[in-house]
Amino acid sequence: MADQSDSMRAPKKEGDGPARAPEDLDIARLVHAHHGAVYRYAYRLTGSVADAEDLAQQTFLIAQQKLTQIREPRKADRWLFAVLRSCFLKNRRRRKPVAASNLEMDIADVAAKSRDDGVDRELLDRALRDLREEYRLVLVMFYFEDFSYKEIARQLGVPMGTVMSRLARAKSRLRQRLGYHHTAPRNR
Amino acid sequence: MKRNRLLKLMDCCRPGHDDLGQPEMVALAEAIDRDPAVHEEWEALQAWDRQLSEAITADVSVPPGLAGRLLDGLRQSAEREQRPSETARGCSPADNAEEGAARADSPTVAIRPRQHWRWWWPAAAGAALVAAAVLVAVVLRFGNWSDSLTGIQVAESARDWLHALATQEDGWLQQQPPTDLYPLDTTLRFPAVRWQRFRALDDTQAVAYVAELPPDRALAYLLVIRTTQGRQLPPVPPPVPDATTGNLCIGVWKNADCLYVLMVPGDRVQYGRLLRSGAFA
Repeated sequence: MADQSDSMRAPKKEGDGPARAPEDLDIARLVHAHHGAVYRYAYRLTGSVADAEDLAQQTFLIAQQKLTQIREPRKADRWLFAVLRSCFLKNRRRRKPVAASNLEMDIADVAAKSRDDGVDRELLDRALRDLREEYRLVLVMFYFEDFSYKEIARQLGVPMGTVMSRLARAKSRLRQRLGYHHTAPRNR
Repeated sequence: MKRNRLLKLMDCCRPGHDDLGQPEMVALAEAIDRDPAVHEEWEALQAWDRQLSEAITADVSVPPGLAGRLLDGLRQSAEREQRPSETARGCSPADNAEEGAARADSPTVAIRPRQHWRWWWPAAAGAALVAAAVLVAVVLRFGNWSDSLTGIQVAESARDWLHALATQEDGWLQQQPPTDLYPLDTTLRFPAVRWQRFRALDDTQAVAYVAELPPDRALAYLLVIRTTQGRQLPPVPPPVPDATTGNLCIGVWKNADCLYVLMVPGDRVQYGRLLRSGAFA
């Protein structure tokens, strides 16, 4: 592993200019520290083990090339998530759309088995996967990155009202699929 | 304020943050203070959000050996990037000084045909590539003679695959079905509850799903094989099974890049009834 670390260290630039990665930051260390979070984020965006691994690899490849952009190692995970999101959006433009019905699975029976055990992992996976990508993206940014809706709007370059609507619809669909029920207050 | 508007605002507030204190949330904050029902719903939604946040961020198992694979990929990429520059150095004029000097000494007439050839071969190679592409396209479009796979052949193989599936060590999985690469056909309207990979036609990777059929949740198998074969197969489940075996009926069809094999319990009558039921679009 030491060899890998040495061969994959960020390319050092001459001088002590601003485009220099922090001394204690190399790509191998970055992978070891953040591969779990990056994979989880990728999995939540793609809904597929294989795609998530590809996306994680793509993210770290870019990180390897642009390691000097990381100013604060403490916030490296934020930077990696932003790279990952950008890769995901680029891949999405290239990808052939898949009919929603292809992914549709009736989950009523599965739901009945495990509704009382908190959030059912399998149901959650499916519910997220069945969401439209723009809904899933804001939801993952909201929950995973803990972004406010204003920050999501700023990051994605879309109006705040759009993000609010997408969040509300995405959450509403998740609640529906995951069996959330709460007595609604009366309209006023 | 309407409930929908309140809910929309609630959905924008992160648990554990003071989002309710933001100016645009004043109306929501007032409604929560004023109305116990809204307060109750706010509390419930925030609790739900906390639960969901935890499940979304933590409840994904990381594949074993992922860090090693990622590092391997990075190392290979770094090596690939180094290689072209080494090749370029090897081909540089300085490295080939002797050859360059020899060329400079040779008569002009000897060089001219080589330059002529340099212009010709890319053009000839391009033309050959275009011709090959046209040929491949024609073969793919009209070349059904090489693809004689029938539903009966597939159905007969399916019995062996099912037997192999029953004896595979890995067993059936419940989580993360690979529906992106091996999608359930658009016509199916019943739940797949377990899945397993297996090898099918010509050692092709395939996935078997276990489905629960309405109305009594009887188990059925749906095999999904990504293949270019079987172009003449029907694009939807056949109304009559391609084969019956013991107490199973087998229907085979091809949609896009996937060949589907449906194995349902019962006889032809039950198979037909199932196809006409709400289980199929």
